[in-house]
Amino acid sequence: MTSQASTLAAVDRFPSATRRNRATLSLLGLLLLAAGAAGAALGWGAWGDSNRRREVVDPAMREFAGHWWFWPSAAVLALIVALYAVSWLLVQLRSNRLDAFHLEADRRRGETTLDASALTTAVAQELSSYSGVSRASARLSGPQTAPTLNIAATLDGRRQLGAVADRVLSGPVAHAREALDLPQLDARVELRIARSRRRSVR
Amino acid sequence: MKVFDRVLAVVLAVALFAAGAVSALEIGWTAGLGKSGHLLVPYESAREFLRTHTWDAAAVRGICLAAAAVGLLLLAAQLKPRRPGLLAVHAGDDPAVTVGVARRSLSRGLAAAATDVDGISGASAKIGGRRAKVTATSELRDVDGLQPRLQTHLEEWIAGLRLIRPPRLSVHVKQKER
Repeated sequence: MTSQASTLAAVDRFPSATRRNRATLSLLGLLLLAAGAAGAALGWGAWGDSNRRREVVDPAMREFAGHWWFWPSAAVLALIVALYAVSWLLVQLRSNRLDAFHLEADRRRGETTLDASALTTAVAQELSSYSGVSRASARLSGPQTAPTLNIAATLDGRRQLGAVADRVLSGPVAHAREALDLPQLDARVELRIARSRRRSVR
Repeated sequence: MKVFDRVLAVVLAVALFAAGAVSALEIGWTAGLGKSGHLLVPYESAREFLRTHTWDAAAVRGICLAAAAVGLLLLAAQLKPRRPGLLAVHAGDDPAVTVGVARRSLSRGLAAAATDVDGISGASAKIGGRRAKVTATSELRDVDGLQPRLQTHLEEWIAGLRLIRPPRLSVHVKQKER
């Protein structure tokens, strides 16, 4: 039996945005911390009294800014910052959702494409029809070569969670693998328990 | 946290874009075209502030400390390890399949399951790293016998979830205040 992790990270629909946000916010935090701490240390005399009493922009700095290359370089740097900000904004929209799946791996033999929503709607409908499931959704994500079927189901309390998990695997996951002709299709199932519970009427 | 990061990212990206674009335009206006004064943003008072205030001025120190504090908070928030939101459920031997249940929804389910026990009128539950803590209330005068019954019921309920590592359960029953 394979050893399984006891916890899982929640599904991330925007993994590239998450990575970029973490990197950029860390860098901004580091820059702010370094600049703020250095300025405060200077203000409290860490680099001597004469430096402490200098203006923030003193004549020596103004003279330095007089070099011919200074302002063009500053303008280029400002433009780079603006362009980076635009790419940072655009990456927020980049989801890892797979809209279409190529059923024919070898393009020379023709092209058959499956609209991913046809598959995910069928998976969600099948799952919603199960006793114990009040709501379900599905999406296909990742690269064409190794897609992942993400399923989310809300349980209403009429069936035990373990039993529903078994049905999800033997039903929608197995059927999706068959439809895509991918017996090893990765599947990730997130189960939620509804706030209010239903009882079976016998 | 991811949602907060995304909102913060959008706000900061817009601010950075505005700052970068306006700075490039202002530099082009004065250094490139040789014009005097500002083009879009009146920055003269800020320039005057930087030229007239020394590093030991209270305002400059305050701004530096505030920047360092914000930077520290931002960095700490990003470096803090994030607790996985799902507890894994046994799902057979297929390594390509992972099944998990959301920690928050499990807390809700646990609280709801507690009310199945006769005598329990309400409950709240919290699932931490490895422990689940349930606090239930009862309107009965004598709540002594309820705790073991509730503990057994909830342990059975958790066993039905088939979690790979079930949380250790701690149950507390208190009398409802009248």
